[in-house]
Amino acid sequence: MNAYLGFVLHAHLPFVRHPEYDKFLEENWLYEAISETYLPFLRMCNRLKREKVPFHLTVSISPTLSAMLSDELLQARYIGHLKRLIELGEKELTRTQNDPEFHPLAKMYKQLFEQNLQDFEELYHKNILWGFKNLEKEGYLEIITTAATHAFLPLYQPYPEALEAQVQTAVLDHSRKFGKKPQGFWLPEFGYYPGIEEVLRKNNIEYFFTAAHGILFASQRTPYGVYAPLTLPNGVHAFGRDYPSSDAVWSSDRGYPSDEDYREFYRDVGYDEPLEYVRPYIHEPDVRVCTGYKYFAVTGSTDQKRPYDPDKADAKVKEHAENFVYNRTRQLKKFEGLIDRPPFIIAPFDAELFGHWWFEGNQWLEQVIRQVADCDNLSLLTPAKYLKQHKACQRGRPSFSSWGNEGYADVWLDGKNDWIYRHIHKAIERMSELVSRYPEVNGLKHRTLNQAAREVMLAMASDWPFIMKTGTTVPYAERRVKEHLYNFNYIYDRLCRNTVDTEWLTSIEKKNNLFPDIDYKIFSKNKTQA
Amino acid sequence: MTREKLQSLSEEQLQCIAKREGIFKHNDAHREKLVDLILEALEEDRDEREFSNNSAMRLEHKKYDILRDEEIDVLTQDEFPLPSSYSDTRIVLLLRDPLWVYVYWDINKAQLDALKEEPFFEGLFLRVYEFNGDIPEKSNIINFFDIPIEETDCSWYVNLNRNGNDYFVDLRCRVMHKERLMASSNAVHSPRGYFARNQKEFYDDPSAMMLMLSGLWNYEEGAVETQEIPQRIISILDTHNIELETSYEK
Repeated sequence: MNAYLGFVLHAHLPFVRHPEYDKFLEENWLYEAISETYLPFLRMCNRLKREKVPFHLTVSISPTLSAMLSDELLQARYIGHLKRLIELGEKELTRTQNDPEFHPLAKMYKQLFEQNLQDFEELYHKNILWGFKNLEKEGYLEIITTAATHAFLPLYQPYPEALEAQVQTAVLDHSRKFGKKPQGFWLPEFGYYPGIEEVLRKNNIEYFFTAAHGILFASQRTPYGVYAPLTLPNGVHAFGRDYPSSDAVWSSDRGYPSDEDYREFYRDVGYDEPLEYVRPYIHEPDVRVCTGYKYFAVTGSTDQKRPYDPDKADAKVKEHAENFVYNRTRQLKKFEGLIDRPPFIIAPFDAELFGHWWFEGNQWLEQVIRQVADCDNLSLLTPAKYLKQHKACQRGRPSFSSWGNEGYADVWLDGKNDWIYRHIHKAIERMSELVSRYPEVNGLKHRTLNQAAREVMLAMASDWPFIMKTGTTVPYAERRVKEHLYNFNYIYDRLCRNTVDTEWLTSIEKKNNLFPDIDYKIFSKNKTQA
Repeated sequence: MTREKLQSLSEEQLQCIAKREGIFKHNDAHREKLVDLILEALEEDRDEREFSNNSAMRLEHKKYDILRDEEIDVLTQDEFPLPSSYSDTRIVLLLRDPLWVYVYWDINKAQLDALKEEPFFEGLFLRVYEFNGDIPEKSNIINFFDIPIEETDCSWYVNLNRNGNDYFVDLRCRVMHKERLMASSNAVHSPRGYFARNQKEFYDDPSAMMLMLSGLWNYEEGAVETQEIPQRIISILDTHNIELETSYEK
């Protein structure tokens, strides 16, 4: 029996851009992801392409991430960040010159940062979206989108205008940046509720992904389980996550990344060396952060970590890739006699897992792709290509679900974060009210209303309640929600008084500058009712 | 949070963090001892966060994991204050999982004051309706129950009677033994959260094997209605060893 394997990588970060500071701690999320995940991923794809290894991957790039990747300020800051790390690399080469274990590692990291700088400046002219776009043009990638600011959509079900705003803005933004409309949609956190498909279809989305139990507890029996898409009554298709293939990578105790030979994420020069030495490369005032120079291996659950050995890690990468492919072929033997078409195994991941937390992740992915290319009965495929080749075979409507803890909305609706919804919902109501009050305006008022729409959407990001529930930067997440709501309420009050503070508006427009083509009327209630 | 960072903080900041972490008996403690206690409490918080999440969430958290010094906001002044109320009466219902909903409400201050002035005002309550059908109307209502609330309350997590039905909530008050409707919420549909009503139904289904391969491989957990917490499939899957994946046999 033959089977398809569909890797889906979701690249997303919340919009973090602080021109009001010279350096801002949380902007490092972006810089680390570019250095450790996105650039190595593009290098991997281009290497496979050069060597004519066939591959098809689905990549979801969130509108907030693409806004940051194409932002000139953040591009310039990323270059500064890389230059500082290369400078640290010089110092590390000197410091470790008599250490036969650490010196080659310092050299490796410095070369990695130099390669990143070269690719970023010379190959992509500071905008790595070009790299993704070209790979899509050549048929290697299928790039899809997600909600404009990555809102967890089931918690906005009572506000269809906000759902429409999230989906429509994302689709328009994607079309502008990638030159074509997205066929697929990554529901943030796989948050599905029956009905959201109507908004997706209205925006010409053909498919989305759900958690396994969304399909298994669907409105009708699903004889193909998660191994074929579920076609919804309105014609949109839902692809369910395959648990065994994700677990091989995700599981914190059994997953590949926890292998003792892989690089340890938490040991970093930024923490291990004296403050005086690392001060220019950490955050002010003396807040230690990771620099990327990490010299130890996972080793096991001990504080006595072994030095990292890239050769050993490389051998493990090959072994784990082999194991992954072997297990998929074993998996598909179990389907024999049960279904009449090749099963489609969907393996979705957060892209930032590969390279950032799991340093060897991109190498592993590359090895899997190479081994699948040599496999007789397994091939890589994307959902759009699958839908072209296969007719609908099971129909129904998935159940409310997410991939979060407990499988529903528990992560984003919890005692630690539930306070945000009353304020965000009110802002949505008021935004719709503003659309009714100002159906046609231009000039300054138009700019003001567009900024109001941006602020409401930024407050809706799922990242903030997620961090409040799980994270280490909780005050930042709380500040962000409050700041966007404050900005929105300020605009609302000013419009009620018929005065607009031009200077303040300009400063906010410059700061929260995503979605330049936004039209505040996307929050129209009439539109969603029609 | 690193020891180094805590040691660099002022006494006032340390006390503030200690209070936030529930460390109260520290007045006589040496500074070093207090730092130890805070580190211990923060470590416990981290472990709790880690263990209360499934694999997907743990991994997602890693991308925000750029520092070990938890950002602790010791400022008391709120830079971006939010309104405590929006001066209207409304109630909103959000579905958290098949058996729990979150309901929040606002009451217009003038309306509440007027209500309290009435001589026979008895109190406020929520009425949770269970109904079956597309539209929440009287003829579709299967059941309801009341939850008394205080004037100072503004939200509640409500445990539903059963999954697989539709719900909405009224905000009501009682004056002189008579009820008055103040606001009605939106409706939500609670998912079934299980596959079959019993083992027989599960195994008799021709697709049972495919469903087991898809994740329902243990019918007792998440597959049938009789299970105690039917919605927790993801966690259940996370905690089980999967023979296929742990085998390194070639």
